[in-house]
Amino acid sequence: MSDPAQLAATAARIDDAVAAVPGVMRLFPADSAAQRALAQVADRETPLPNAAVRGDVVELSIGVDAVASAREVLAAVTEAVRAVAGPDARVRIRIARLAAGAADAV
Amino acid sequence: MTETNGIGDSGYDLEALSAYADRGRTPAIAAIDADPECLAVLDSIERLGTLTRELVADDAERMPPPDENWIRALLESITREVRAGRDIPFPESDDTARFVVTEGAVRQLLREAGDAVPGVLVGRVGLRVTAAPGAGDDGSGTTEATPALDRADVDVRISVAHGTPLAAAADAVRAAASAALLRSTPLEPGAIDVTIDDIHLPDIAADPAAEEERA
Repeated sequence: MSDPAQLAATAARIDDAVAAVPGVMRLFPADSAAQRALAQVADRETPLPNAAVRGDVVELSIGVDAVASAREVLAAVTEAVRAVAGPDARVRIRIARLAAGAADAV
Repeated sequence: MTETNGIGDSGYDLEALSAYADRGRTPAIAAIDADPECLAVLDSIERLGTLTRELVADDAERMPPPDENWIRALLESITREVRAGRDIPFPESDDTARFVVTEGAVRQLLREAGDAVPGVLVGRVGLRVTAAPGAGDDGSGTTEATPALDRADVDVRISVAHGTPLAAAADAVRAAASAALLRSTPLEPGAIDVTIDDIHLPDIAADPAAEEERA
């Protein structure tokens, strides 16, 4: 899978799947350079995907809230990615933002 | 200190983010909204406004106006803390799935956990991550190692509102930090030192009752 438009479409579907996982606050651009490259071929009206897809590797940068444990969120995100990109997809997830809120106040 | 390169990859500095927060984050600036470090600073700016109001709420009329230098220093401290730093791996990672969390995300988690304790405002968060003793070596002489968590030693400096029980506040911050680390990071809580370096007092001179109590 090397067609930029196809990669962008897959990345957008991954974004949607990951954003729906409980505990995921939001996605951040996983690879700003790749996103800029996509911007040159993408429709200006279409939001650029945050996931970066290279072959069978999917990279994500996410924010996680205080609802669930980070490990549970990571497992669910991995499952969501593989539901879109295939069960053999290699997943790289970076948690760039963690929110505590009042969950830990005693 | 001037932020020549801006916060995160945004190109925007602390002044720009403060102004953006004052405008209610409108009109939206994509370079800020898509940057985790900028969002952490914006959230802190907004939380700081709420918490400082709460800290002085009981004595609002007697309190001096907030010290702009103190707030400025606090925001600069937050700006340093949110920098991503190194990636901390989760031990569950393997060839097919690799999970990491940034040091900056962990520091902000600790700050938010402390700020969520009633009457407490976190001034500074120090984080030192060290490999857990025996990590990668179970002592058996084999390469089959028991996964071990890296250890987080934390140094939190806080301000508390006048009248807040100090020991209880420190204990609550320590407990909140420990729970946050266990829930959201691959780190095992180590030493969690809490230092109370400021108490927000009412203006004694303007309050005869408080002055009498002080005497």
